[in-house]
Amino acid sequence: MPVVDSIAAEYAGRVDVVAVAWASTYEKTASAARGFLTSGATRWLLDEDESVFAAFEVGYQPVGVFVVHGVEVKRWLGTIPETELRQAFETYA
Amino acid sequence: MRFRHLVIGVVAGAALLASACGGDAQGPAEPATTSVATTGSAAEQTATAAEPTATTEATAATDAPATTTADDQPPAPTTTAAPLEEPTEEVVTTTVAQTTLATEPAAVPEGPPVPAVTLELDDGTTFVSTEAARPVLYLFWAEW
Repeated sequence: MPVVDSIAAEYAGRVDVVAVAWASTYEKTASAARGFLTSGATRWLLDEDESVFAAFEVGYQPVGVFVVHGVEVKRWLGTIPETELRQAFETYA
Repeated sequence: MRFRHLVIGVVAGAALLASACGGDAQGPAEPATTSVATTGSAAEQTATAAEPTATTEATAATDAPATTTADDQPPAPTTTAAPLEEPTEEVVTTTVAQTTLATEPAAVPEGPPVPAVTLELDDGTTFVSTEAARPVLYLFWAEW
């Protein structure tokens, strides 16, 4: 998450980064967000009813989904190397 | 009388001498004539030399008008050529359009459409997935 947040800061204004959390309380999620998402470029929410996870058909985490012009262009399951993440930003930004 | 006859004789002799020297007299005349001829030739040469100049000038003058005419004409062709440039611009415009068309597929990639969801974010803003103006990375995570 810190790496994603760092890259999100670099691409601020070009790419929106939304962190969708689940399976926890708001307090615990907010505490983790304050520790991981320090740049302010990554916005987050707690998917309390898991409706967002269900809409994106995500059954576990972490999962990343890149959407461009309303179309899902890339999805990765689990963690990916920073270089690959940067490449995705560079490609779709 | 004798003196008169003597004078007449001398005159007659001089006349004979003069007639005898007539060829000689013409001799020196030739140089004069030659001189005149030479002068005439020089004049002719000058005239000839002048003629080419005049001819050149005339030619130049003729060329000048022709050039002027040619210059005058080109504007028309140039004007005619201008329309040729316009199509070129159109081609460029077409090229730009093609480039745009070539870029569009990359800008609108194929893939499944993003599900329509409305997200209430931590900063108090509302984010609608289908109305995003920029590329979006959705990162699904958990605090544990």
